[in-house]
Amino acid sequence: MWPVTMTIILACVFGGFIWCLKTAMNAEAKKGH
Amino acid sequence: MSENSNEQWSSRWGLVFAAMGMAIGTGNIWRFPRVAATNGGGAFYIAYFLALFLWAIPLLCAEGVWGKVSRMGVIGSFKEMLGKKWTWVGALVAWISLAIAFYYAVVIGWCIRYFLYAATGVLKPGLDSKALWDSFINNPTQGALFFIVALLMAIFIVSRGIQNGLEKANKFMIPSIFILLIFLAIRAQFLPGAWKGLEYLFTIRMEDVMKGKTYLEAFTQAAWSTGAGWGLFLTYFVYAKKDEDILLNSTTTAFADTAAASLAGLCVIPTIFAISADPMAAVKSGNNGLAFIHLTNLFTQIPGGVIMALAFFAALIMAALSSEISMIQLGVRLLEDAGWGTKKATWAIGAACLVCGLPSAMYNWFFENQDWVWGVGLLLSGLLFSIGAMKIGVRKIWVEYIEPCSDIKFYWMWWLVCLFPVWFVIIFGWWTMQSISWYPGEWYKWLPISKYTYTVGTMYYQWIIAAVVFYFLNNWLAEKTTHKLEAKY
Repeated sequence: MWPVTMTIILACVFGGFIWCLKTAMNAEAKKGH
Repeated sequence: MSENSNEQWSSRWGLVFAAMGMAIGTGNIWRFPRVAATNGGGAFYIAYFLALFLWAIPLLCAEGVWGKVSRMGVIGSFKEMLGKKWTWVGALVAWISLAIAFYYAVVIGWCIRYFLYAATGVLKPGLDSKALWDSFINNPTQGALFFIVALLMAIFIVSRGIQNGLEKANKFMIPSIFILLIFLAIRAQFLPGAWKGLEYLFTIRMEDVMKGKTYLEAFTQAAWSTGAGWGLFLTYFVYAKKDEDILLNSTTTAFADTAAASLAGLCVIPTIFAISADPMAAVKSGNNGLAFIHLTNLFTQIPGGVIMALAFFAALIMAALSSEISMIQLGVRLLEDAGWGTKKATWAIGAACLVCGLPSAMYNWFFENQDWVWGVGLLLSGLLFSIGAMKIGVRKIWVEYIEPCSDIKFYWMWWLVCLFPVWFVIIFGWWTMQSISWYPGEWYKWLPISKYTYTVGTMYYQWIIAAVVFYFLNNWLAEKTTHKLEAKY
């Protein structure tokens, strides 16, 4: 069971972080145009 | 005024990297893995996610608003946002963070010492790591020496200004910390039995999900680790662009902090479970015990352990330094608001850190007392921001300051600041009750500090002294704090 919960937890942590960075990058790209 | 006084971040990424540096500190590397593992593992993560949204992100948003709208440091921003009568409240918040800056450089000094131990071959098989730590921590000269080295490093960075100092340093240190932690996390997985640590860290046990202590520890960790309510994010937002996003940058900072802490967890806990004869003794041994005794001992037993030790202590140094410079910058901004130039202000704050930090560098009981008093004091700082936000109007702040420049439009994430006083009462009450139970019948005493290191008395007396001093200095502080940053873009 723990490999499943580990995958979900780490996906939330790193997925959340990457989503924030990606959203910020898209916003900056939009402001640049 | 110096030429640096109106300097701003060169781009959004300058601010984001600096904010990550502010949040990612030693607490991510040596506290999060230990506290997460001993408080439910997977259940702790659930509580921690809640704490990010209920505690950290709303407070970071409030700080962002204070800094960007007022264009002044912590003291001036409270005056500008809430009126002259609130100046002393800003001074109290600023003092709590500065009091932490005084002793936090001591921690960097310890990490530098251990990095040098690893680099010079002291960490080798058969080493008595406890004796090594005891001999170091009980040597005031060594403590003072490495504290001064750490302080000079921080002063050097801050004195170079926003773009050449803080921005450049963080753009180097933050990727370096992540690279080192990724390396350590991967290396740890190749140790025999490392999976036992992963199983322990990531299993969700229902009894822990239902346990109140899991949430109390997770909220405390989030409060201390993300830097929410310290005034540091506020200070960095003084230098932000006019149209800088507040909500997304707050969320990014909180998640970056959690990502770094999780990487540290992936390194520390599997290493302990793979090598240590008594893993639970190691994770329950406190921050210093874990890093400087148990992990140091394990590094001497692992093939290529010296490389791991070098990477681990280098990551700790950079994590601590990137936080220390944000605290010194908080002080520098206060003096800049009073018309001081950057270099003069940096050396003045550096001198204050030297004088007020030396006792912590030389005597560990004083360090532990200050860590207790001002660490818990940070919860109070958070409360002051939330009360301030509610006084101005939560909806008004959203409509006027956050929403217009926000790249994500989730009002509820900001609105949760209204619930902050509830979490404050619970968490602060829990720490108070714990402290009373540690000193039955003597919880109100505070002198000698070496005996009453963690009492409620020592906490309250030191807070009250600071609050009374700033209350009486209110008008003087308000009159002195007049130089706003003039944002060019």
